[in-house]
Amino acid sequence: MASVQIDDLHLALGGNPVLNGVSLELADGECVALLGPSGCGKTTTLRALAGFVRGDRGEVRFNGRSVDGLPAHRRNVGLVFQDYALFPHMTVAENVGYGLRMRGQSRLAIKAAVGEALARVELSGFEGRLPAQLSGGQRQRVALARAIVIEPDVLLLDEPLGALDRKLRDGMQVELKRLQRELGITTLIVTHDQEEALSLSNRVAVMFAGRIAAVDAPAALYRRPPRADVMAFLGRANFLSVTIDPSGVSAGVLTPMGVRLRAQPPEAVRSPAAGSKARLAIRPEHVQVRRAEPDAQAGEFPASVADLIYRGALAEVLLQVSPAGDGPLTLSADLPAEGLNVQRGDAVAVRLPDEHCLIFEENGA
Amino acid sequence: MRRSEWIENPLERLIAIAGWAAMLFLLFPVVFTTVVSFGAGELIEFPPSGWSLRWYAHIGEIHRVGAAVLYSLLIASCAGVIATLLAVGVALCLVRLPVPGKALIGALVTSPVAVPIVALGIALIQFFIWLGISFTWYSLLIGHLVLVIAYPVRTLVASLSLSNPALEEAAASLGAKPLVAFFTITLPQMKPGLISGFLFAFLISFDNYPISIFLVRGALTVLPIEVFNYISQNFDPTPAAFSTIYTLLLALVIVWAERRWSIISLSVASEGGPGGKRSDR
Repeated sequence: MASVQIDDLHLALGGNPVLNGVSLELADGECVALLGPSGCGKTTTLRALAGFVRGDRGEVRFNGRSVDGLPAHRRNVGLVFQDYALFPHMTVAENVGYGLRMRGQSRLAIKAAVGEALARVELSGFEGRLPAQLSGGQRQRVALARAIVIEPDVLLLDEPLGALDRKLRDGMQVELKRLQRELGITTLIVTHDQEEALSLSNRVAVMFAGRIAAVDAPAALYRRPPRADVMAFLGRANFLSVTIDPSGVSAGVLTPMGVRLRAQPPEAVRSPAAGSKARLAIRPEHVQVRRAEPDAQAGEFPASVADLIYRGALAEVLLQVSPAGDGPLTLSADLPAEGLNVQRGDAVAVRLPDEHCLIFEENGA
Repeated sequence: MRRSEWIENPLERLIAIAGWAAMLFLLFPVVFTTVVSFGAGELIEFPPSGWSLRWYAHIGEIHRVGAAVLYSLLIASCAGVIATLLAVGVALCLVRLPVPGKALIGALVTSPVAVPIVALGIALIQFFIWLGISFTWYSLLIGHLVLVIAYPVRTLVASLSLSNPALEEAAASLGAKPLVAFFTITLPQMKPGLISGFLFAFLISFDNYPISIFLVRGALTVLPIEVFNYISQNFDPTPAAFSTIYTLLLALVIVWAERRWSIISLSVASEGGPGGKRSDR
C-alpha cells in the first residue's frame, strides 16, 4: 500500500500541452475517481502514474518517494485497461499468474495465489479458459484479478466499467467497491461517467483541460461545487444571470424574475462585489413547482410548462419563464413522476429555495 | 442444391457464375498437368490415350534432381528463416516505433515485388561483380532474400497491426522487463505472421526460376532450373508427374497451416483475423 502524490505535473504530447500542472494526493488506501470529459488529460495522468509517460515538469511520488526514474515494470502498480488487454494466447490462470511469474514466484505459490484472486472476483473454475471464451463481464473480472494478485501499491482503473452494458455495470460497481474496501488498496479510477465517479470513490477529482478543477467527497462536491463548470459537469444544473443586491443587504441577489434570493456562494469562493453580475445555479431536483397563482411574497414567480420528459422515477419539467425586460429563459425541474399534476401548457408557480441556490462569479469559474 | 439456395437476383447470379468461371480457369492448368502425368504414352497428350504411373518412376531421370532438390531446400529454408527474422525487425519498426521515414522503409523493403524480376536479376549480378563476391550458394541466397523479404514483412506488419499495443503495457505494469514482454507477449501475437511469412518466403524461393537463372553458376543448381532444362529437351510427362507431387505437397502444407494459424486470412490482412483476437470493445 502506498500514498500517492502528483505534484504540479506538466506534460506535452506531440507539442500539445495535455497536463498543465496536475496536483492530486491520494491517502494510503483511499479510492479517488478522476472525472473529466474526454481529452481533459485524465488518462494521461493515469499513464504517468503507471510509468508509461513521464512529465516534462513536476513529480509523481509513491509514499513520499519520487518514482519518476522508475520504469513501468518496477513500479508495482496494478492496472486495469479500458479494453482489459488480456493476453489472448494465455489462459485465465496464465493471465492472472503472469505478474507473479515475472516476480519469480514458485509454480505452487502462483497456483495458490491465482486461485485466491479468481475466487475474489468469483471466477473459480475458469482457470483453463481463454479470454476469447469469456463474456465482457468475465474478462473485466480477470483483468481485475490479474491486477490485484500482485498486491500492487497502487491500483489504477481506466474506465473500468465503460465497456459493459448497463446491468452488468451496476453489478460490477457494487463488486468493485467491495473489493476496494476489502483490499484497502490505494486506487485511482479514471472515468468520464459522473455516476461511476460518485458511487465508487471516497473522493472525486474533476479535471478540465489538463488541470484538477475541484476535489472533494462525492456528496460535498455534488452539493457545493466550488465552480460553475464543475457543477455543470457533475450532474445537471440550471444557470441564471443575476445581480448581487446593490443595497448590500444580507448578501441577497436579484433574479431576472424580480425575485430576491438569499443565495450563498460556496465557501471556497469569495463573494462577488455588491451590484455586480453573477451566476445563480440550482439543481433541477431542488426547483419547486406548484399548480397555483404565484405568491411573490413567498419568493414564487410564474412560469409555463413547456414540456415534460418522463424519466422513470422522475419527470423532468421544462419551465418557460418570461422575465420582464429580459428574453425568455428555460428552467428544468425534476419532480417525482408519481402524482405529477402538471401538464404541458399549464401555468405554474415556481420557487427556488434559498438553501439550494449557489452563486458563482460571472465568468463561470 | 436446395431450392432455397438458388440466387434470385440476376446480378448476383452473374457474379457467382463469373466467380466459378475464374476458379475453373485458375484450376485448369493444375488439373491438366495432373491428368497428363498419369498418361501412358511417350509424349504429353490430353486426354491421355492410356493410363500409367511410369512417369512417376521416371522423375529420377531429371538431370541432377537430387542435388537440385537439396540446394533448393537449403536456399529456400535459409531465405525463409533469414527473411522472416529480418522482417520481425522491419515490422516492429514500421508498426510500433516512432521512426522517421517509415513509409520509405516500407516501400523499399517491399519494392522487389514490384520491380521486374529480370531487372532485379541483372542488378544483383552487377552488384555481386562490383563487390567481387563469387557466384555460389550464398550469393544465390542473398538474391532470394531480396526477392522474398517483402512477404514476411507484409504478414508480420498485418499481425502486429492487429495486436493490441496495450498488451505490452499490461505486461510492463505486471513487472515484465521490455525484452521479457517482447518474448512472452509480442512475439506470440506475431506467430501467425511468422509462420505464414516464413511459408510464403520459403515457397517463393523454392519456386523461383528467373532470379536463380541469373545467379546460378557451375556446380550449383536449383530445382526449377533442372525441371525447365528437362522440359526444353524432352516432351514426356515426367515434369508433369513431378509437378503433381509438388502441388500435392504444397497444398497439404498450406491447408495444414491455414487450419492451424489461418495464414491465408492473415496475408489478405482481413480484420478479425487470427491476430485480431483483441478483446471486444
